[in-house]
Amino acid sequence: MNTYKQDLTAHTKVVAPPQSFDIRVGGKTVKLHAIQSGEVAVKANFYEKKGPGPLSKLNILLGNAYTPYLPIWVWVIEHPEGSVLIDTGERHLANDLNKHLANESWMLRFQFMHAARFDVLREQEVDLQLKQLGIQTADIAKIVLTHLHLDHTDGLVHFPKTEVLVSKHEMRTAKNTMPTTYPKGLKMKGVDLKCGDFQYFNRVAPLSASGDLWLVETPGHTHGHAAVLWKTDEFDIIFAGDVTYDQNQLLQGTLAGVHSDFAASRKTMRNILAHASKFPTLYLPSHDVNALNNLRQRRFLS
Amino acid sequence: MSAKPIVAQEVNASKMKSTHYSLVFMLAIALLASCHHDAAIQPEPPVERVPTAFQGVKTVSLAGVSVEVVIDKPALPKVDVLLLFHGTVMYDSLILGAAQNTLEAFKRITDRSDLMFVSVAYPEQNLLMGDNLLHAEAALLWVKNAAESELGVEIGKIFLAGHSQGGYLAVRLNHLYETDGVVANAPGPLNLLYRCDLEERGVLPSGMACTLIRNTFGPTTTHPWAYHSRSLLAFTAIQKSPLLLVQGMNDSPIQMQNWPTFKQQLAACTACDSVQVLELLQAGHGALFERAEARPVYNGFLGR
Repeated sequence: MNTYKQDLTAHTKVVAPPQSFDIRVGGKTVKLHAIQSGEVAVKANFYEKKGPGPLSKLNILLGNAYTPYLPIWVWVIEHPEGSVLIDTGERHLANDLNKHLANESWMLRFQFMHAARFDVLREQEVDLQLKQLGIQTADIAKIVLTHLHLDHTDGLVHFPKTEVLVSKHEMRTAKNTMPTTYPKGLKMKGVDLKCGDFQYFNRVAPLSASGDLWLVETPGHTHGHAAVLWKTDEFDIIFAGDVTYDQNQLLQGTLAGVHSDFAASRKTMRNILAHASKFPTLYLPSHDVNALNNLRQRRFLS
Repeated sequence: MSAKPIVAQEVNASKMKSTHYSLVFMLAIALLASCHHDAAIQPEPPVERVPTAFQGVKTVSLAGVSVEVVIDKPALPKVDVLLLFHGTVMYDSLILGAAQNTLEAFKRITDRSDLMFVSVAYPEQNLLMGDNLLHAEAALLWVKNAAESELGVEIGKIFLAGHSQGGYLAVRLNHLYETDGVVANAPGPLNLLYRCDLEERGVLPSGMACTLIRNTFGPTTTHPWAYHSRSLLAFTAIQKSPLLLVQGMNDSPIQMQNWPTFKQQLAACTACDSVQVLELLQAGHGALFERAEARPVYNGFLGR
């Protein structure tokens, strides 16, 4: 069943400024900002798996139907140890993928142009939205990427000098990346995820000295996909990247056609639900039209 | 045979050594003398750079985006800047001429003689409405950050102004950047959803702006946000600097259909700086340039 029915109320009448939320961490209030860096529509068979195994990949190319346009979220935590950006969103240049990916291989360009369509305004790019929040791009201490797909990495160009962290496994195994869109001199650092204290995530790595922010292994969408887990005073937040495209997909166990490893996806989804059954958890995927409502209204997974 | 050259070399070396010493000695005396001489000289008064006028075209760049600007600088050491944006043209081969014409049109109605005009030849062809904001942005940031050193002039206030699509760009820039004020004459498109729907239904002939959006995102019914988000109506929640809007009330029916909503939304805006509206009856699309009563309001705004 398709769960991507468009939430028309998400489209306000004006280009929406970034939304900010107060989160209690270590007895202090920390700002969390949600930036919508444009929208993406993907093939229906990309969004939801159709057909078994490799056939599901072929069906992405063969299908004609697209989902409605879905948001592309970028998250900013004004962490006491330094502001952290989770994913970097998309750029308006991606509206014309043929031109934007002109320096990538024709095969990659072909695949991408037949799977996704972007609608991004210059105003929606992460650098200008940070500016609206009074944050300069140079103020971002580190960027954490959930994975290396274009709609998560394209904004890197606005941060040529910022430390960029991504799971080492993702760096080794990622396919369909677009390195020609990266800024020159970009230093991407692979984070080694190791067996940790979290029962439901096999491998993790700390992202803060205070121990509230973690990179946790969530393979499936890509082999090295990793989500960011934030343990706040009141609940946990999982910045889920593309584990699923929305909360309903997770609750219903719906697999996306584009996932690299369906078995790993299923396991990751089970792990997140198990975690949420033990800790109150807000689940924030990168393309969920209801993400802000869930955050605002504290709609926990459990 | 082998000894001679060695002796000769030694002789030459000792000669060279003595020449060397005498040279060092003479140089030292000369240096001392020159130091003594310097001390006696009175410090020269600072040379005042003579400010020169400049008219010409310059290419400015920002993060890989280049755009040509037409500059008209008076012979003054300190100037305020009026950054200008032209209206729609059919082809990019015409944009430099449009930038030049826009500069002249604004200069004709401007009383101040201490303004430097910078008119931006932003591209339009095959670009989605508003994607040339990148070029407008490059020009503004050049004026803010580099023009002083590159043109050898001190820059005071910066104003933006534009006509039609140029007014649209100036208003969209005002959504992002603070300046000392923005003047927009008949800014638009105000509502592309309305306009493109009329085009789709054959009420209006197809135009470049709607065709490009339709080709990229599908018709208005498929993805209305693509049309609405590129309309000026979508940028009425934030306006960072004072805004002067000039609108001839005999403008096109499409402009007049959406003008009241635009005005109303800006009036209701809580995150906007002051918005001044000048509506001119019996005036068309070029009201600011055509009507004498617009001139004092415009010049008063620039004189703030």
